[in-house]
Amino acid sequence: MRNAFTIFRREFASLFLSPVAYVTASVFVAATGWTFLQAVKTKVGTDDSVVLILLVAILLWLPILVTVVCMRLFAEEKRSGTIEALMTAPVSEVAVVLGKYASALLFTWIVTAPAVGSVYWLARVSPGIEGVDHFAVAGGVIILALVTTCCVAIGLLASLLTRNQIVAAICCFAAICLPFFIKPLATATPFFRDSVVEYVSLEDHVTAFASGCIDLHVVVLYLSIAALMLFASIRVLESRRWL
Amino acid sequence: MIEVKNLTKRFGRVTAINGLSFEVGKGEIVGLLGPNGAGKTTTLRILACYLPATGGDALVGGADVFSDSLAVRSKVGYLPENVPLYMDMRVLEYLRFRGALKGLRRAKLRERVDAVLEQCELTGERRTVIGRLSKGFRQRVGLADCLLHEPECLILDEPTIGLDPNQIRHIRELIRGLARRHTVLISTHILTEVEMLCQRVLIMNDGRIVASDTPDALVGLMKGNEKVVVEVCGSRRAVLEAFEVIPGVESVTCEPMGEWSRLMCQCTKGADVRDGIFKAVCENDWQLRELSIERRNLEDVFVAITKGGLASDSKQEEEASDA
Repeated sequence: MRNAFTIFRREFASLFLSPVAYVTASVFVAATGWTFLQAVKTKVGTDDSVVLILLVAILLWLPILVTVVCMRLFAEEKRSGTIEALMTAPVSEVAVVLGKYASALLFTWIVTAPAVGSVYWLARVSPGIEGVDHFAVAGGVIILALVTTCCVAIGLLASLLTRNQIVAAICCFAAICLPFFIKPLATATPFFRDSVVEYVSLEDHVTAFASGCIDLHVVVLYLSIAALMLFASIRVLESRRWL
Repeated sequence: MIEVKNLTKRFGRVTAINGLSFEVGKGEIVGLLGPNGAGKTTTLRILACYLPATGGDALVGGADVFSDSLAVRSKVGYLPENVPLYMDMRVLEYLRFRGALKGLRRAKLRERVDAVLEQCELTGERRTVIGRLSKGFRQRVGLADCLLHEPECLILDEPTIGLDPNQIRHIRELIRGLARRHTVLISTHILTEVEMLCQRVLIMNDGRIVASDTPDALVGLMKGNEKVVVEVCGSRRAVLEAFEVIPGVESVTCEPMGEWSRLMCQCTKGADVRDGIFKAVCENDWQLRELSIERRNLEDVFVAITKGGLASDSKQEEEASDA
């Protein structure tokens, strides 16, 4: 685990050394803030949850943020050849994958934190909003953290599969966007029962969590997907030594 | 220290290395030579645990590169071709990062980083961002990285490629200094470097070892059939006629240089015709300004072996001795 922490520190520092990270973070915060405000303006007078509106605004831009953060994780190492130096050091594949994953996840959480805070800022400047439901915000933060955990793991796997960052970005974006379309796709397909659709639907999970209802099966589902993606990533990295 | 038995590596239908076997003893500096595509880099990558082999065995320091890869990697310092480094890091940061990956902690890490910075003459560049360093300095950073954890074995893939003569000399001195404490397997195209550095040479061609011996012994294979160069002032026809009849001279070619002529005398195997040439020059009262024998070097051996000339020569010799 020491090696995982060493890799995490290097990766995390390198994210902050790159101008791409600052540009992405600024654009993400500005874009979610703007989307949130526009959505709130159109919902004035309705009893829609502000937290739910905020979560939808964040989730709309999250795939782009995760794609930009994840596309370079392994693809850049492969392109520059540093993967050869990294994988010939006495360090296990598990440490490499976990170190890189933790750095990308923490960076994504840091960038999304100001966007989450905008609901408090809105409550402060808008006299029409009496207060913020802290349980709803807590639920929103949890589902956001879970979705991010899952998406970054998918992005990491996509980055491992190619040396071209553009290809990695396209694969990553497509894979991350898939959960957003699960409900419409599953509903349109006659093979799935309603209970199955409800179980895997991101939309339903976000709505439930934004009302302060924390469902443990959802937590397990997202953590399981993230764990599966990380396991697959470790296997893909190990596969270099198999043939 | 390194034992390779019947190592084979295939990329699809292409066989990069084919039944390779060799050994490198502790403290030896061994040069791996071969034309492009001979399989040198693939061999080194397998030994550094970067690539798996298709077949055969490879042991480094008694540990198997396939089943005990982590143990091998902790015993090996590997410098890949083109020295991949993180360009956004400073030299000191990079070495600390690499040292930590190699299991060095706190005081030991600081001590080793300072030691390799000094050893590779990088102390003045410790705060420089790697992306701003010249190629020579980047090469030194790569070498410093290899030495950090004091590995038993160093595997260096073309460590002097693209460097200027001063940088090459410095890296060569550095590698020579390492031989006291490390086993070194070095791949290079610079044959003079191998002659100066290596105790033993392995020449690869088409994925196989085609020659393995000390540089002197390999050059010894090429002895005989030497050329004598003569620069003489006299009638060209007379000079040619006089030289052609000297015992041991096979053929003579002449290149005019104003009043002077430059003659290349191809000798029969084992013959030294310099005495005869000198006598002919004196008898005819010609002026002489050069009389030298063209010595064979490792480059001749390399060309002969990789193009098949030496192999056929040695086969003929074997057949003659059998007869």
